[in-house]
Amino acid sequence: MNPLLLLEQAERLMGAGPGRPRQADLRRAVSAAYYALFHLLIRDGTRRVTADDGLRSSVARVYSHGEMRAASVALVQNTLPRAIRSLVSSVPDDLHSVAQALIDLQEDRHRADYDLRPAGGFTREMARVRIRQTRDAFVAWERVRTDPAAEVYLIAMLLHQKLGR
Amino acid sequence: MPVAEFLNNFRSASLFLAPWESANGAPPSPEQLADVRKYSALWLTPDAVKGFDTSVFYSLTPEQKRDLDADIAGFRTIAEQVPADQPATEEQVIAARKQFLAIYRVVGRYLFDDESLRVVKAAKDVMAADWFPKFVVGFDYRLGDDWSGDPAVWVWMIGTDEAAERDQLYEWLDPLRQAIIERLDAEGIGRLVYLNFRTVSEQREQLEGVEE
Repeated sequence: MNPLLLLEQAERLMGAGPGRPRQADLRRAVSAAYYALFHLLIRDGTRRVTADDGLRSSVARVYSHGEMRAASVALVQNTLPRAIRSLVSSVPDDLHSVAQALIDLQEDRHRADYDLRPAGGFTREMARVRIRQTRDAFVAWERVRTDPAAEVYLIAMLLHQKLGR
Repeated sequence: MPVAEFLNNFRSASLFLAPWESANGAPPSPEQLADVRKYSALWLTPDAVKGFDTSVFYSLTPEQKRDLDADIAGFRTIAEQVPADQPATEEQVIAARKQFLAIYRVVGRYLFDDESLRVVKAAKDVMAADWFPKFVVGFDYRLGDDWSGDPAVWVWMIGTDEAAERDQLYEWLDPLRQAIIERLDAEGIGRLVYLNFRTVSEQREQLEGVEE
């Protein structure tokens, strides 16, 4: 799966059809935007682990939404597990933006897919903000992905729980 | 649950009328009144009292219930006269505000617990800062647990429709998030913050119920 195609799908859903986007389109757009970032990070994470395509798809399945979220929250709050905290002397702004986007998108994606009450609805501006955030996260990730802190982040998303506090 | 809808909508509407600043009877300043009128779509609407039912307020005396019913009916009558796409007149704002505050004095204690009041204070402190963008005219919030079960606060900053059209809201996402997190920390609120924007029109639609 090419993560960029998912992001483009999200952007298309925001502008598709006459009039304003419907709730169903807004929800699918937010969900697609989340999965775009999710797959972008997993793709780079698995590449760090193995060069073998078959193994990479197995490793990709080990990533979980919860652990990726936990690592992202720890990164933005400077509470990474002690075992790896010292490896990140400071969090680059770009990496902070990526982690924050993952946290925001994951929460909204959950609401988009499972909270179907009117009160859980999305507005056009809310969805537009999240998709802009995703696009910016893609750009930020491209800039920061070779930074040592990004390497730690990718490992933390895979092993956050096992690394303990 | 109509009463839950009433409490939620009335709470959201009250954030724009700032009753806790003027419920003591002090008249609003001309600037306050101008803003309250300019964005009357956010509070002076029948949807602000939609789902109201006096009977669920068990602790009220019959006389209090009668007064509350009268204030609700009076507010609704004025609100129904205000066109959805235009601000209310000054006379409508003054009359409706009086009735809104009377309702607030009775039901306010059901709307904001101590933690909510601290969240409101934090948001209002941020909005009062010199650097705060003028096209963000209000806010709404919700307390709860996020999908992972962590305590969270969702904050929606309400921007003008014009600012959204000009794409001015998004660039404020990070600065506003940072400022709100700092103010919430100062208030002792240890919840994860989820920040987003709605436009004035969208906030109004939230009160009306989202179209599917």
